[in-house]
Amino acid sequence: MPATRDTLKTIEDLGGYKYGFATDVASDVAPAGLSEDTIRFISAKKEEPQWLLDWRLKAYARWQKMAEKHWAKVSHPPIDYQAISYYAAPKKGPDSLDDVDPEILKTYEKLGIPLREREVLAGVTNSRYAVDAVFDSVSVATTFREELAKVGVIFCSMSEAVKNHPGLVQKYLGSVVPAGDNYYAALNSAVFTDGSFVFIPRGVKCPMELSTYFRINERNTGQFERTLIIAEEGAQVSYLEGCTAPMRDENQLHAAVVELVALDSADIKYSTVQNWYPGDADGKGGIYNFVTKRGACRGKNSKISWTQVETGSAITWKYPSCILEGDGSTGEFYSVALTRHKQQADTGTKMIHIGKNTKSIIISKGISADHGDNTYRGLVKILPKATGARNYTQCDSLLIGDQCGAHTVPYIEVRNAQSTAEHEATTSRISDEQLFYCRQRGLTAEDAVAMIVNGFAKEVLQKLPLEFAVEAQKLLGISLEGSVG
Amino acid sequence: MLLKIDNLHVKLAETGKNILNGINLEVKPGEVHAVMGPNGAGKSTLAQVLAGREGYDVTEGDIIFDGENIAEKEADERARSGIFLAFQYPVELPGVNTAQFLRTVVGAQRGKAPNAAEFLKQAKQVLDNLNMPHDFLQRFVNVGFSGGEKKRLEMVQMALLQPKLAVLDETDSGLDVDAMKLVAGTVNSLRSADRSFLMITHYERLLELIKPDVVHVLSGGRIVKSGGPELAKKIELEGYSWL
Amino acid sequence: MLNAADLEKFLPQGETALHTPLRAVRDGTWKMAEAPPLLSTSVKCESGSFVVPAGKKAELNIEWPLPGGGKVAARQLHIAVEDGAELTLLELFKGQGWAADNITITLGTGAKLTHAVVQHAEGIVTRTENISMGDNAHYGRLAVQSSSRLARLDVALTLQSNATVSAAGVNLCNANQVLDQTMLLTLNGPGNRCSVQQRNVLAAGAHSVFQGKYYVGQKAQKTDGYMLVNNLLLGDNALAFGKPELEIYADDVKCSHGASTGGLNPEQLFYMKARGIGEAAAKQLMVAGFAEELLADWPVDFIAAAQPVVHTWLESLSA
Repeated sequence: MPATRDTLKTIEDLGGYKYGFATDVASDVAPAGLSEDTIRFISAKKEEPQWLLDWRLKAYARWQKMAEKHWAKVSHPPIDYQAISYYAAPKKGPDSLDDVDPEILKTYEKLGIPLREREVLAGVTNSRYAVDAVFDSVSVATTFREELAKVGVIFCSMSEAVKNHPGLVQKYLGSVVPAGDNYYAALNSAVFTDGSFVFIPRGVKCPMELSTYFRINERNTGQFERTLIIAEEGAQVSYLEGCTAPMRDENQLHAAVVELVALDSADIKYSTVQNWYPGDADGKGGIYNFVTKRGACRGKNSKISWTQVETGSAITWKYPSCILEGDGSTGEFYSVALTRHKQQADTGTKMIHIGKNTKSIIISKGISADHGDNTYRGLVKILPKATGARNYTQCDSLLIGDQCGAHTVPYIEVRNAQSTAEHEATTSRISDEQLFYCRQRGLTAEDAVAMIVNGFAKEVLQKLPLEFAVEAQKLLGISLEGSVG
Repeated sequence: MLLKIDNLHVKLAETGKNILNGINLEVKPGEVHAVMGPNGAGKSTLAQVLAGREGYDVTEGDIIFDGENIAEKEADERARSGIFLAFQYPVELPGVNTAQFLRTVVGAQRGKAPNAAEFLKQAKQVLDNLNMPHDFLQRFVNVGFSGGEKKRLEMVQMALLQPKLAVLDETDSGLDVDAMKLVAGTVNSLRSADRSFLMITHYERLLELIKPDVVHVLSGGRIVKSGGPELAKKIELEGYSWL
Repeated sequence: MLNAADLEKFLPQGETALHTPLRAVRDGTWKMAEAPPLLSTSVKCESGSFVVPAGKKAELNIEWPLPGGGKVAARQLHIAVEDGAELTLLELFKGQGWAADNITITLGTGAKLTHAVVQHAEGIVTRTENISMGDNAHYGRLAVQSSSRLARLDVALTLQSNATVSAAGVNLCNANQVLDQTMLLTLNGPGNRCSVQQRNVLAAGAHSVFQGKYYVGQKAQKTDGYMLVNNLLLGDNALAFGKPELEIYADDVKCSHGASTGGLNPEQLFYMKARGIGEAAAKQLMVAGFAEELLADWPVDFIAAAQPVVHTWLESLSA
C-alpha cells in the first residue's frame, strides 16, 4: 500500500484528481443548442447514410415527447439541453496513428494509455491490449486493428463501422437499447457522435483485450458515445473501458449507450473503471454520468458479465443489465461504487430471466464517505417460462462517517415456481477495532482505510483484468484520501 | 532503558472512569516482564494505552519509549518505532489477504516492501515454526480462524516484524498446551539483548515456559508488588487475596 | 370520539366502574362489532379511541366486520398505550365488502404492544397503520393474511430510541388474489433493535407483495435492523414481488436484509415420499412448516386465531 504514496503525492499536486488537466488542441465545436439542424450537422460531419440520419431524427422526435424521470435517488438542478454543445472534435483529423495530434498523444500518455503500438510491442509499456481512444466526440486512434483483422475481429470507431460495416450496424444498432428506451438513451440515439464498435465472428476468441478510453476535454460539451459489441456463436471477448475528464466548475453531461449482443455460447466480459471528474468537495462541477448499458444473451449458453468500478462523476445513473433470452445463458454484475464529498450514485442492474435454466449473479459493494450518497437499485425478474432459473444477489454497503448515505433498493419479481432467487444485503462501517489493528501494525490511517476498503471490494476487484484490478485498487485508496480524520 | 512509564494516570474518554492510577514501570532492553493481576485491574488497558488505542485519556504521567515521550503519538507511529501489541482479541479483516497484509505491514515498518519471493519464504518458515499450514497465507486476515489460530497469527506477525518491545495481551488465553508451547517457543527464540517483552497474563502456566525477569502485580490501576518469578508461583498457589 | 361513558353501555351487566372498561376488554366480552358509535357499515367514517393508562395492562380483541358486498367502510381507531402500559391487541376481519380502515397507535415510554392482525375476509382490505413508539417501547406484530381478493396492510412505524420491534408476517395467496404487506420503519434515534420476517406462500396464479424498508436517520446510531422475506411458489403463473429496502444515514449500524424465492425443495419432498408420505400430504407438511414457523412464540390467543386460517388455506390447496 505504501506504493500508492507516490501517486498520492501526485494527486495532492493536482488538487486531488489526477486526471484533471485539460489539453490545449484546436477543436471543431458545434455551437450550443439542440435541434433537428444540430442532428443534421452531426450526421453530415460524419458523412452518414440516410437511414442513420432518419433513425436519429426519429429518436429526437421521441425524446422531445419524453420527460426526465425522477425515480432515482439523485438530485440536480434542471439540465439546460440547449446550453450544451453536441459536437466537439480535434481539428486535425488523423488518418493513422502517426497523424494524431502530438498534444492528444501526450494526453493519453499522461493518462497511462498506450496508443503507440510500437512502444507496446517494444515492451515500453508492459501491457498489450488494443485501444480505441475517444477524445470528446470522436475516436482519435484505434490500435492493433490490422492484427485483429487477421482473425476477423473488427475493432474500430462507430463512425468507421457505419461507413465500412453498415449491414452489421444497421442490424444491431438499437436492437438491445431501442431509441426510445429512456430519456437519456433517446437523447444519445439522436446525437451520438462516436464510440467503439466490436465484432467477433463465429468461433473466434479475441486474441487480446480490447479497450476504449473516453476522455472529455472541451468545456460545455456533452459526450454521447455509443458502443456496440457483437459476439457471434462461440466467440469470446474481454473489453475494458476507462473514463476521465478535466476539472471544470460546471457540470458536464455524459449520456452514453452500450449494447452487447451474445449469440449461442458467446462470452462477453465488459469491465469499466469510471473515473470522470467527480466535482470538488463542495459538490461544484463534475460529470453527470447518465448511461444506459444493456446486454442481450440471445443465444443458448451465452454469457455476459459486467464489472464496474465507479469512483468518479458527480452523479452516476447507470444500470448495466442482462436480458437472458437464450436457454442456459448467464448474466453477471459485479460493482464497486464509491461516493464521497457530495457525489451521488444510483446504480445497479437488471437481470431479466426469460429462457430456461438461466443464471444470474449480482455482487454490489457500495462505499459512502463524507456527504456521499450511494444507492444500489436492482431488478431481478424471473418470467413464467424461465424454469430452472437461478439468481443470487449480494449487496453490501460500507459507510465512512455519519454524514453519508447508503441505500439498497432491490426489486425481486418471480413468476416461476421452479426457480430460485436469493438476496442478501448488509450495511457496516469500518470498525475502530479494525483501524486500530492495522495502525498497530504500522499502517497510517489512510493506508489502513484503503486496505480495509479494498478488502471489502475484493470479490468485485478480482473480477477485473489484472492490470485494471491494480489500477482500481489504487483508485479506491486515492479516492478516499482524507476521508478519515 | 527501553520503556519507562512514569506515574501514568489514564481514564476512559467516554465515561471518565479512572482505570490506571499512577503506574510506574521500567523495562530494560532484553528483559521479559510479566504483568499479572485480577480481572479489572487495568492490565489490558495498560497494553492498549502503550499501543496508542483511542478512547483513553492520559491525564497525568509519561510513557518514554526508546528515549522519546510517546504519550501523544498515533498508534501507527508507535508501531513503526518498534512497539508490537499482540491483541487479546485479534481483529478480522474480511477480504484482506493474509500474505499481502503481512508484506504490507512489514513494508510499512521498514519503509519499503520486502522482496515478494524472499518474504514468502520467510513467512512460510515462521508459519512452520508455529505449526500453521501455509494456506493460512491465502486466507483473509483472521476471518474464520479459531481463537488459537488467531493468537498464532499474532505470533507470526511478531516474528516477522521483529519489534523492540512486544506487548503480549493474554496471548495464552484460549490456547491448548501444545499451542502454548509453540507460542512460547516463538517468544523464546526472539529473546535477545535488544528486544523486550511485556507479557500480560492471568496464569502462571505461560511463565513456566517463558521465564520472566520481573513479575508485577497490577491491582486497582497500580502496580502493587514486583518481584522475581517466585511471585508468579505464589499467586498461582494463593491467588491475589494476600496482597 | 368514544369515551368511557359511551363504552359503559357495552359493558356486561353489573360492571359499572367507568374506569375499568379494560376489564371487559380483557375478558374478551367487549367486541367492536357491538359498538355502533365506533363501527359503521356505511362509507361514513367514524372514530373510536382506546387508551391503556400508564402502568396498566390490557387485552383487546377486535372483530372488524366488513360492510357487506358493494360497500366501503372507512373507520378510524386511535389507540394509546401510555408510559409503561401493556396491551395485547388481536384484530380479526370477516365478511364481504371493502374495509379501508386507518389505525393510529401511540406507544408511550417503555410501553409494550403485542399485536396480531388475522385477516381472512372475503372482500377487500386496505388498511393503513401508523404506529409511533416512545423510547424503550416494544412492539410485537404477527400479521396473517389469506382469502381476500385484494388486501394490503400498510404499516408505518416510527421509532425514537432504544425501542424493539419484532414483526412476523404471513401471506397465504390463492389464484387471483393479491396480498400485500408493506412496512416502513423510520428510526430517528439510537439503539433500536428491529427484526422483520415475512413468509409468503403462493398457489398457482397468486400474487404476493412484500415491501419493507428501514429508514435509518443520522441520529439512529447503534441500530440493529434485520429483515428477511421468504417466498414459496407452489404453482405456475404466481408472482412473488419483494422489495426489501434500506435507506441509511448513520454509520454505526448493523442493518441487513435477505430475500429468497423458490419452489418446494425437491429433495425434502423426495425424502418424505421415501418415508411413505404421499405427495399431497408431504407438500402440505412442508408448506405448513414454512408458514407456521412464524406463528410460534406468540400469545396462545394469537396462535388460536391464526392457526385455523393456515389450516383452512392448506385444505383449500389440496381440494
